[in-house]
Amino acid sequence: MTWKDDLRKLPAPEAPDDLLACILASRAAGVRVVLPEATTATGQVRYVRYVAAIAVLVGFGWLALSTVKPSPVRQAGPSMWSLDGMPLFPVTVLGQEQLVRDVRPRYALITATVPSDVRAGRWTYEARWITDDVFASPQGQRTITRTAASRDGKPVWLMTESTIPDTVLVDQASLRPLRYVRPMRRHLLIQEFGRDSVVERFDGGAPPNERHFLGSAPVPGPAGSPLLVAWSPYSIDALVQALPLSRGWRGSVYSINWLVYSDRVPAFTPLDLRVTGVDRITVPAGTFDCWKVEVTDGADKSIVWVSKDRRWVVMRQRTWSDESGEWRIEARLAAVDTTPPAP
Amino acid sequence: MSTSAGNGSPGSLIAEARAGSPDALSALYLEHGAALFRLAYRLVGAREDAEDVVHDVFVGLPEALRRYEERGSFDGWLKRVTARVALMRLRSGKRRREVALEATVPTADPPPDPESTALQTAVNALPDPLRVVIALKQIEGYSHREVAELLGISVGASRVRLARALRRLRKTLEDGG
Repeated sequence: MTWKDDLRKLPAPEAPDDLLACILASRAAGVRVVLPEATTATGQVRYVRYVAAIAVLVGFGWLALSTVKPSPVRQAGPSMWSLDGMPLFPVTVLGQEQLVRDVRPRYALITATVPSDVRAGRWTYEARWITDDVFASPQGQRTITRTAASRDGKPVWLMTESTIPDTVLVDQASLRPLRYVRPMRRHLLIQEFGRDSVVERFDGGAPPNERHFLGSAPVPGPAGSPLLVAWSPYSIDALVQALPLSRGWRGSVYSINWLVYSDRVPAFTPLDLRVTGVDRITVPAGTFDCWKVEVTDGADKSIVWVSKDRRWVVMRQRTWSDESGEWRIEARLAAVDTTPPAP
Repeated sequence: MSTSAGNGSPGSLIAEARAGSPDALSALYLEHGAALFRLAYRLVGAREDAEDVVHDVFVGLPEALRRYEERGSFDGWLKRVTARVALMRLRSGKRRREVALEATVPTADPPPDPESTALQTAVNALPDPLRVVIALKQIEGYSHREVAELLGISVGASRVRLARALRRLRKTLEDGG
């Protein structure tokens, strides 16, 4: 027997026990996947070659035109101001070139949570840009504050972030947002959430360019299931504290964008969360055993490290790359204060 | 096969899975899932990616079965679909190679013998175009014609890649990994 025969005996891991349950849950949640044809490839290869030839011709044409007419300045990677120094901003809203319409949740929508595990506290993160894995550029600190409060007699979480003047009120029992307020220099956006719909008001602009928008939309997914506010980077932090994370765990949750831009950006986009492994990581706040959670938002992917014991977000990372280099933005937990903040 | 779907015959299961029956889909998974997972793992090289591939295949199976013409073996058709999904994942660059992470997960399996580990390491170190041919031809037993069809290359190219892959493997093993 030779090593070539041994190739056939190379071990492969077994499928996880819960994979069938995940498949059935995804189907039940309405997830559909279009599979490729299992036909011969010769016709496809010919077709691809034709398309490639046409693409080359178009490329040459574009090259010829661009030598006559100067092309506009191209920005490498997303601009810093639009990211605002914090990863997990909704990429779908950053640039229309990444817009994906009608994205369905990849996994079953999250319904099983333990809302009582969510705690009040303050979490301070330090953010930095890293270019080509070498050059690090500090981007300052952010503090996320979660405070217990009440609204109409119901216990709610009041969530704020130190550098963005917005607030989110989240129902403690369902982890669904009740109200989101985002004041800007010349605009004000307010979203009010009902059991299965959201109403948005957007006012702003100086005369004579005032702009007013009033819209509403049904919230996708089962009534009472968690929902995130896309523009609030701390929205997901509360949710992960309530998730029964374990090896192989996965689930999807919808996040809401601004309805006023729904002609360009889908009002709701799913975030797909999946535990991909475990890691022990050291950040300024200490060393933590973490679940490594992949968060997929359309074509964008982030990694979030969630501490196993209290499910704090310890670190998050997003990476972009193109022909000119690789950029990573990283937020690391610098300090934690779990003394309940004063309401 | 134990299933409450239909009478349990392959044709009946396929028909019921095509109609969206969860029981039939479960029965098909129980029959084919393990082999498809191994195939996907050998093509994408990471457990998590193999999970995604098999997940996608079975989630999309009822609709895909509407295009299945029941010519040739169902098993072969299902494997070709799985291989295509895995290869699409490879080409899209979505996969992860988190060997270090996987190594941190405790397992009840006995430790593999050193020769098998060296061979696995050598296979993993091959570039994707070569590793995929090794997986399909040498491990899964596809013919060069089938490998060529799956990869969209000529039969000659499949032979050349296999020869290069085997040469590299031999050299790696002779050099001691």
